[in-house]
Amino acid sequence: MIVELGHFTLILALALAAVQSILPIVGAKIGNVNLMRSANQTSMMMTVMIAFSFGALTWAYVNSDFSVLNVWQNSHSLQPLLYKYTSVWGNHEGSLLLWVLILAFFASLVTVFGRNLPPVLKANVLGVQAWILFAFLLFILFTSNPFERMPNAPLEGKDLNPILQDIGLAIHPPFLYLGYVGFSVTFSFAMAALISGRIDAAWARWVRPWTLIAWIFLTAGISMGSYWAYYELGWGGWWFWDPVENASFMPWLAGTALLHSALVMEKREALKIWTVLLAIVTFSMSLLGAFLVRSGVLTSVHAFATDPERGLFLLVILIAFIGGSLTLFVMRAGMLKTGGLFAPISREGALVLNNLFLSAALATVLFGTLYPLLLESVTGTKISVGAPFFNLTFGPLMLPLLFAVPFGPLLAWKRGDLYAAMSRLYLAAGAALLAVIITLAFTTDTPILAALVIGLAFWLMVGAFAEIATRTGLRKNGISKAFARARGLPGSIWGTAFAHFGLGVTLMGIVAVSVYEKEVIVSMNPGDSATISGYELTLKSIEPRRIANYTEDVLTFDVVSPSGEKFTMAPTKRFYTARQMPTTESAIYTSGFSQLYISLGEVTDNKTAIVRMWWKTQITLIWAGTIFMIFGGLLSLADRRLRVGAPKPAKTKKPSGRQQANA
Amino acid sequence: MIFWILIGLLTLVTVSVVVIPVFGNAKKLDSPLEYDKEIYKARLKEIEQERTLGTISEREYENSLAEEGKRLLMLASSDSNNDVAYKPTSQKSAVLGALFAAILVPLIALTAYFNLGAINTPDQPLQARLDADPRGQSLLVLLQRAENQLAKNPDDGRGWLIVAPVYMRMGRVQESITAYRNVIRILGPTPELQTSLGEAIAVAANGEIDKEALELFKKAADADPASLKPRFFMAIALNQSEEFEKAVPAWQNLIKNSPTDSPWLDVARQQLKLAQGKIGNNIPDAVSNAPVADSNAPGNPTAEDIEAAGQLSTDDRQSFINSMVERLSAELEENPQNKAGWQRIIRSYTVLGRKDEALAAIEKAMQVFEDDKNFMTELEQNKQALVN
Repeated sequence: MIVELGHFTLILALALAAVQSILPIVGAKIGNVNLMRSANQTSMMMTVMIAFSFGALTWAYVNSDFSVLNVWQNSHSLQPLLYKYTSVWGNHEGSLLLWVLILAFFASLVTVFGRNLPPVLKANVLGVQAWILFAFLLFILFTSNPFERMPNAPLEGKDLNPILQDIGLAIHPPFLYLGYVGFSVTFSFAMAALISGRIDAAWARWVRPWTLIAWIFLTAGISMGSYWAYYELGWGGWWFWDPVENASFMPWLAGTALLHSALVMEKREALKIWTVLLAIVTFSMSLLGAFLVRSGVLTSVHAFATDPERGLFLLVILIAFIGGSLTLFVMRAGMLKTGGLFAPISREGALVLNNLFLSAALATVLFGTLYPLLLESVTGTKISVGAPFFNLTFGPLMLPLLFAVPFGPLLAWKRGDLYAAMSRLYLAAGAALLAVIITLAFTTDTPILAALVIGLAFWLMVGAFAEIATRTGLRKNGISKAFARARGLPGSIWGTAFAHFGLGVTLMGIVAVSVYEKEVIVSMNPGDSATISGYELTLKSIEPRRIANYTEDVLTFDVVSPSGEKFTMAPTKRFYTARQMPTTESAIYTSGFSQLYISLGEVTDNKTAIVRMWWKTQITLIWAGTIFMIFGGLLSLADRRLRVGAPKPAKTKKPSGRQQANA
Repeated sequence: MIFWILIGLLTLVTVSVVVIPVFGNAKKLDSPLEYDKEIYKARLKEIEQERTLGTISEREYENSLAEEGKRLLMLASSDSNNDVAYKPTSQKSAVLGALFAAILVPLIALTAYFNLGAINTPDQPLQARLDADPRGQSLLVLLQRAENQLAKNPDDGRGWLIVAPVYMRMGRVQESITAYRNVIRILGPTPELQTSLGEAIAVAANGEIDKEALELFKKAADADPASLKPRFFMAIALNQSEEFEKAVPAWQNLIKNSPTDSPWLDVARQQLKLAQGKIGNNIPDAVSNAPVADSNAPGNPTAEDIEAAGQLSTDDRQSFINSMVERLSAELEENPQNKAGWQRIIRSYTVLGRKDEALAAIEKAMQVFEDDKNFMTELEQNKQALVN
């Protein structure tokens, strides 16, 4: 009964979405306050219903109810409990349910925190949010229903795809979805502005935190996904320019641009129309990502859900939302008031530069991702666009942008002073130069370009804090006074500094691992030794082991580090019995920021193993940098400025409304 | 019934949640400009704060103030929506809206559910299915229950004894081996268990009787001089290791001691013939065709013994041989470069009297091993033997 009730509440959510798609927007149009307000209740109710539905599916997974097709296809009664939970979203249907749950959850966040929003804006936002919900609920129920039942329930499930049975899967997709779906809110805001033809002052103030929230989650999701691919797929790479990775990277690029243009809009009322367009583009990229991953047009490690019928349905959603919103944009953008003017050398100018480069980068990634698909569908030729293309197009676009990053925050709004900004960056320039010299002097095989990029990384890291040094008057006031001031600085300034610093850290990791990585592939029998980057590895034993839903060969290595430290590493080769699928569990040893990485190839008769070993120089910096970016985003989000009261309590309906708005 | 009540309640609650606020007592709302003013105030406060902290200069402060003022003026002067959007509620449109929702929600929900839902399908969590009344449950469920029991209490020898032959019949040979091993570990060895384990091991090895299996059969035969089954396998092992000199008397003894209706007699006679052929020793057919041994003669197995052995064997014998041959044939299909495999399967078909299949196998093997002179000669000989 629980499963069927879950199915029914999902259908009720569809009905609610239908109502909410119409009533508030009609209300806003004809000026009926009650109709507008109904969106508050419907969106909350929808969240409750979808949450119940999600809970029901989770219940079915945890209790191995194999009468549910989806449960049978993607879980196993012997799975550890954690993976019974994560199996819920480790498949197409369940992950879509999570997607709509987050979509509804965000809509209800708008109702809870949006008491200070002008009612028309709020009604339109929630209405548009309901359109998206309606489309995806329809998609789930009619093409990807997780509640489909089987008449004769089998006794054992087919197990979850083994490469997804990992703690990485527990967190990576939900974060990614929070990011993707977070951008639906900014999209709804953009659409609401286009529908009513008015950009309220609240608009810019709302779009930025929402962009930030989505951006933080997306950054975290991409970063975890990259780390997960690194240790789970056993190829030792951290980014493959795989179309599915690009699918998450494109909204990130657009979202990063949006984050910066929304800033201009909030502070200076400029770039309004551009920001609206970016908000549309960003969510369109999320939808495109969903389409690419799930339609089956791609075949890659991520494409665990493929079905042409679904692809067609998704294409319709894609065309309706992207085409519809862009059409509305073309029709209505003219009605929106453009904002203030500014000189090219100014904070605004710098942010426009940022937007230009990010948009161009987005265009290259989009081209590189879609071109092979278009070519294949038109001429039937199958080509793959890989790292070389992206390194040649995306790379050159990023370098000047990264070089310009430290200047941005130092320029004043409206009209900036480039020389003054430069004079504040002496320290950063010095650090960068020093880094280049040291690199070239102390290493023998570093290409000049790589050394320069290392300099650029230092330029970014040190330059990121130039604004704080300036604002606190570090040079004039001395450390103690500067410290007191630094504490009072708005969170967004600290946020900017940390995020830009993180960019430098990530860049550092990327260059280091690309240039200094070492790789050794050997065939080993127990007792054999190999050496990599001063680490001496001896294969002690190969032992078979049987655990829950898989069997594995465990290779135990005795490792002696260059400094004489001894430890063991144990990579394994697993075989998942239900799916008859092997996987490789690599062993990773972290020393400083670098990692020793062992992955297994073929293991024959418990005797001989092909062993791949890498020394990954400074690789963890890549992900450490994203942690700084996320931290920066959180600081910025925590900025107290978001709190704005609703108009005078006497005029609002309930006094409690104001209290909550200020809470 | 409860299900339908819940469905009804859920629908009712949902409809009321949508409809009730539509009839709420709404007043005239503030104009959007009022909201803009709130934001303006908040911004002014921030600018003041930054000035107090000293993070912006006096000039920047004044510029910002002027800027904010200008923005508010712009919003105020430009607003064309003020009058349209904020009229008090019209009762008529509210009623229409409520009616719309009250019809649409149950309509969508119930039609969609009747089309998509698996009405009256109960939940079937695995544990509950396994705990349910065993009567009327499928063998699979019963087996799963036994497995769960054994997972909890792996020293339950009787439990292992129950599942071991079941696994064997289902073709889950490896699991059967594990189960028999556990039974022997816990309950101690008996000739019958040793024979069954040996048989399972042999099946798993495509009929090849390895050292461990042979050891088990020997022990079983020693422990129970009257038992026939282990002796059957021991004789097969002798044929496999091409010790035909020893094999011939082994087969002869087996045939002599077996009741006339023993299911293995055909196999045994053919194997005997094979062994005899190899050593070129033509022992009169009288022996292999010997009638029933006198069951009353001293030293012979009692009638009961034979009955027990026969019972054990009828099913198992057939399934053993069939599964062995089937496995091997599938394996060769996949990987034909397996000389020993071909030899074995040809031998098996011959022994089973499946002459056509034996010939077909010889043909296939000849195609694969065209270049192997010795093997080709051997195959040719086998073929001749069959045709004649």
